[in-house]
Amino acid sequence: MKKRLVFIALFAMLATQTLADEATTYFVKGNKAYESGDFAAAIANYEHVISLNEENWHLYFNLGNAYFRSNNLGRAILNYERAFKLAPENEDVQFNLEMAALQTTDRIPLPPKEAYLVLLENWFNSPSFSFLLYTTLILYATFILGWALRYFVPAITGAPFYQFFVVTALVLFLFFASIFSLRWYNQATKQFGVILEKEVNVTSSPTTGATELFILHEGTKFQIKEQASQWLRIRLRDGKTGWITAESAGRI
Amino acid sequence: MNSKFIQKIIPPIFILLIAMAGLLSAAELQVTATINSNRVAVDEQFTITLQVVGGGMMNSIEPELPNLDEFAAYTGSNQSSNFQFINGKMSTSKTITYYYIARKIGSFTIPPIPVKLKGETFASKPINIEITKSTQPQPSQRSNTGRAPQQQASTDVKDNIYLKTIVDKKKVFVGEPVTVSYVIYTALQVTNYSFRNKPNYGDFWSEEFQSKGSPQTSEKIINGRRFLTATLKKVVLFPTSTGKKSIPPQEVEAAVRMRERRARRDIFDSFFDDPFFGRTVNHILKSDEVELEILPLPTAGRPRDFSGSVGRFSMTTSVDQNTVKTNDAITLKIVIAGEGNIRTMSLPKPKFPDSFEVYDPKISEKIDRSGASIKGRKTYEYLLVPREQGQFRIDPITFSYFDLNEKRYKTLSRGAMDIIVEKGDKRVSSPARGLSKSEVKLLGKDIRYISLENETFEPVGEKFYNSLLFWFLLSGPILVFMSGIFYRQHQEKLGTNIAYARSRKAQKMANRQLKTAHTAMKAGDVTLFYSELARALTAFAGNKLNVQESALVRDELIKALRFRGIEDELVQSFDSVLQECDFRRFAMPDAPETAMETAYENVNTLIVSLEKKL
Repeated sequence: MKKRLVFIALFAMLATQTLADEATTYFVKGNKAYESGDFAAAIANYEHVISLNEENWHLYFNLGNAYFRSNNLGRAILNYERAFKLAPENEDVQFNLEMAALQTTDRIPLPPKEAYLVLLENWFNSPSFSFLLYTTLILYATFILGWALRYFVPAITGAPFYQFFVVTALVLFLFFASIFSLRWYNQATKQFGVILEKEVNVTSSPTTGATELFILHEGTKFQIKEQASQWLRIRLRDGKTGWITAESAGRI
Repeated sequence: MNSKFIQKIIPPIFILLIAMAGLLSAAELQVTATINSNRVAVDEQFTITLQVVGGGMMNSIEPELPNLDEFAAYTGSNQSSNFQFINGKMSTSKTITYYYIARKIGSFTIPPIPVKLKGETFASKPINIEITKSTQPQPSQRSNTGRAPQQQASTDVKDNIYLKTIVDKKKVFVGEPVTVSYVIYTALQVTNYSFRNKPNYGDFWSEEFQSKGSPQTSEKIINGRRFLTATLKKVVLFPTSTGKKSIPPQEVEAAVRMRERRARRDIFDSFFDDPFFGRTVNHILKSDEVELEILPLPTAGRPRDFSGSVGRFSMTTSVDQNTVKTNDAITLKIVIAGEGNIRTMSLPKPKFPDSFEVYDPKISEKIDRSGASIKGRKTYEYLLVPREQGQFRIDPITFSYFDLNEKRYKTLSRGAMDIIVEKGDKRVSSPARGLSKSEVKLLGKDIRYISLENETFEPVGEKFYNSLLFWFLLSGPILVFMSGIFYRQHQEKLGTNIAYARSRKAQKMANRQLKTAHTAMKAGDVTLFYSELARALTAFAGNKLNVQESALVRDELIKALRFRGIEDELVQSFDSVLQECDFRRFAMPDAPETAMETAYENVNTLIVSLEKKL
């Protein structure tokens, strides 16, 4: 019985190992194809990696580039957005995303915002997830160890700055933990998508022949509010909402 | 040595030569002859005034008497000398007035009057004179009503005051400035004037010179008569279309002080000659219409960016900073200064790097109308906002114009400025997204190359923070820490609180004694069994109740149990079990095994119940 379990575990590990190897192989193949200018082949290889259920930001970034070169703006932006989600701090990702966004047709005017709000929001969204996570964990450990120290080395309570140190660690920990949680919550609850078709009619209800509200063009990002069978209810940055068919867009 | 000497000596010689030339020119004389009226009646007196102006002594000057025997008779002369210092230079003048009486009707010329000085001869210009016959009617005119003198006066005025339009050139290119001066000529005293109309310079762009104060007057001798001239208004016209164009006339209303004609023999004549007693008459003067021929600018060699600027210009360009951060503004300043029509001038929009956001320029112009020509400057200030980092070059800024002096097109080129754009710290104002669509198309910028880094792949959607390990890491330390603290608190209580320690030990000790009792029971040692049984119970209760060893007596224990609020039933069974133990131990050494087993069970249940209650 026990032996069988060990065998299964070993097999699973091996399987994931070979999967990762396969992903790497296809990723490298895709890069080679891209270098030689065969963007269609590059796309096929990269997409194969995704079909293996493997990902990292490099993959999405390169795939975005390959789509961009093949003039598929919608998919380029979709993949850049995916790369951005994984590595928001990466400059190359930001740059290419911006470059691609420049080529989109739709200009969604944002309601004017207070400058400090924009700054705050930006500041809130700029650190990557892993940075927030590790900072939170380190601060957490610092606080716990610092606090525990008083029980094992009672003399430390008399040391200058001990109290300050522990309280600072706690405050910082709570601060980072809350930002992390908010971001985590946002990511877990808010879904975004990108228009993939050249032109999409946004309708007032999830039925064919419904009133057309407005038209969106490829590359436009939106928030997915809900899904009803083959329809998505979307919301634009400026607050406009409507329904589009699910196949005309991609989930970030 | 020799050459050095020459070098030393040449400048003084040169200066000396110049000084001598100055002396020679100072010796020159200006000789002007004027006549009081060009039209004189026969038998009337006229005067010729000869003025000699020069730098030196003039006592020796004795001009030759003009010989006018042909038509006039000399009656006498009058001399006056004058000298003054003007700008440190002595100037002397001599005025000789000759009186003649006209004798013959007709048109005559007064020949130049020669003046000799140090062997040189200077001469005045000839003067025309018309001698009319209308002398006789004069007395009758005077006897008539006052209308006649006025007519006389107005014809007089026509000759004595008029307005002229003077243009500096008559054939000009489109855009070439023409200076138009409205000059008043008067032999009368003008006390005031005003412009009656503002000419409509339809085909011209006009720029009026600023006049400072009252116009400057100067003397001019026309046909031997002394006139005062003054430029009332000066306008620069820039033709805007080709062909023959005329400058419309300007009308000026001049207030002229007239002298009443009185009998010359009146003894008060000279007294009433005083202008104070004159009367003022307003006259309307109309300048003549002047026609200009405007030529088109040559087509040969016309630069492509030429936008019609004619004149002479210079250009300077500058940026306020060469190193800038993205999204910070740079100001590019282009100043075009010079002579010409600054107002209608336009500068073609320079070409800027595509990633620069360019705002409409701020254009300011400053025109100086006080000098001899219209000068000015036009400043273009472009606000540039670089949206991307990198090194950029602003192409040279060119400006083409037609140079009037050289009669050819010229192109000025300034600039080629290098701008280094550093990355700004603001990522928010997502720069390029603000550009308009057409500008986007121009962006030749490319996306960045793919990432060749071979990082490990992770299953899609799997995140460390979603994993069990993460939550374990998060909750583990605090759990370990908490349990550590509880354990430590427990240890501390054991060490310091005897009652707590005894209470915690009670069960353990009781169990040990019960075990001994059990073995004794199996061995059939009745006394040991009962004594151990009794000790287990009493010790347990004592430990639980924290009673002194010495007070471990049944009555004391029962009292203590009652005191702790244990119900009677339990206390009764506690008492009966102990009594039975004592009884069996001492009175009945051989008890049946069943009795021992019941007693053992009883003690066990008692301990369990007491453990619950205490």
